[in-house]
Amino acid sequence: MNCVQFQEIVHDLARDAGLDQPARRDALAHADSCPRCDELLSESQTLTAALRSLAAKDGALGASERVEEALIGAFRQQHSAAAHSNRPWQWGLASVAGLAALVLLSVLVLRHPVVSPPTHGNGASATPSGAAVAPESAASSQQPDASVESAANANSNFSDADTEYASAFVALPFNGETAPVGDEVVVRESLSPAALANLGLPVSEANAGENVLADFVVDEDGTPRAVRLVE
Amino acid sequence: MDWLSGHSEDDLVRQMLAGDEGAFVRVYRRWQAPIYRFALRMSGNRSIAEDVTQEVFMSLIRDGGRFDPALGSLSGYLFGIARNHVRKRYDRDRFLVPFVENPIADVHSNGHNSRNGNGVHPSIVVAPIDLGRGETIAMVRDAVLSLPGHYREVVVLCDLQEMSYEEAALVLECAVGTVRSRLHRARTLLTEKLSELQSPESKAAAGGMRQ
Repeated sequence: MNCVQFQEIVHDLARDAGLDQPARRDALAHADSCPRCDELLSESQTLTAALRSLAAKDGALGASERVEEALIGAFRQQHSAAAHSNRPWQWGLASVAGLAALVLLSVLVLRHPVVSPPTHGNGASATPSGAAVAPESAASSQQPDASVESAANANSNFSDADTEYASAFVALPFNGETAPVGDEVVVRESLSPAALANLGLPVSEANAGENVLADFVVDEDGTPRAVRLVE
Repeated sequence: MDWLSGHSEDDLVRQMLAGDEGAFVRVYRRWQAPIYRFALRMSGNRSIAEDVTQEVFMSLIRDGGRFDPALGSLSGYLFGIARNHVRKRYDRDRFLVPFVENPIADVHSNGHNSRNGNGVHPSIVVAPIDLGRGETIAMVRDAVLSLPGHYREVVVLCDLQEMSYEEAALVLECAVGTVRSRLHRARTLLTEKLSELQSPESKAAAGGMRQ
């Protein structure tokens, strides 16, 4: 090994890194025989020792606890935000379910058309759908699957003089459930004020002395499901 | 590697990314001090070192998914981020104060730089780290800080952080041979600088001893 070759590896030799044993042995042999290279090695070893002292002195240094606290806060915030950003799929799922329910409801309504209520006479019966009732004349001619449009056309045959006004159907609470359980009919009855009161319907001074017309949704087993008042 | 408790670094990072705060704390506590010291030795400023440390782990929180164990160790990944942040600070500060191209040439025999009194980039104030252990350590610290950035980082990584050439090459994104040659040049500069920083009394004493 000559001096140029030695100077190329002197720092590796001083750091005791990056040299295999034969190269190290050759380098040390050259330093023993060359005072200038020996001095270079000595300087480099001094530098290595000084750098290691510096590393050891600063070895306990680290970031303050404030940094750790800030980072943990940021970590929690990041994952909290990530949890929130994962929720849209849940909302999407709920929206799809709601839409499906709406479509199902629409299909049911179309299968059992909703018609406005003008009817004639007592004891009229029709095929109801939930809280709606078909007029007597229409009920006798419509099939259960008839459309709303055809029912509306049927209604257009009534004159203004024939128009009736009815309240919305009110579920009768003592029957447990209000949902239809099979084929139902609407039965019109004339009720006395006492009967009205027994059903829990309001009796005013105006109707206290006379009977009132009422439509009952009656299940196929005869159980009344809902009632409405008709004028 | 007992800090991993039987897990791989990849597992730990994956747990952390899944929201496991304990995994994040373990990673942080294992690597915050080396990252902080790297940034401190590169900048000479504790405030910058804390900022860089925080930014490194914020990057891990936000973009930890980019860590690929096939490309290198977690420490290499973190030191690489730290290095980029330190360089960003330099780039930003360079608009305010001209960068010292050859700080060693500006060093006076009393060990102080004509620009800011400690041989460090003028935009950086050296924190008053405890100098009680000896003048030599303080001189070495100042000498390291006065090196040009690409020499300083190899000294910090290889000599102060005790990384192998291969690990340093991954952090610095260069060839192992480049690390080796830069370190050789950096140490030569440091030796010259420390020789300059020696007080006249100690030089005289050394001369007297030879005689």
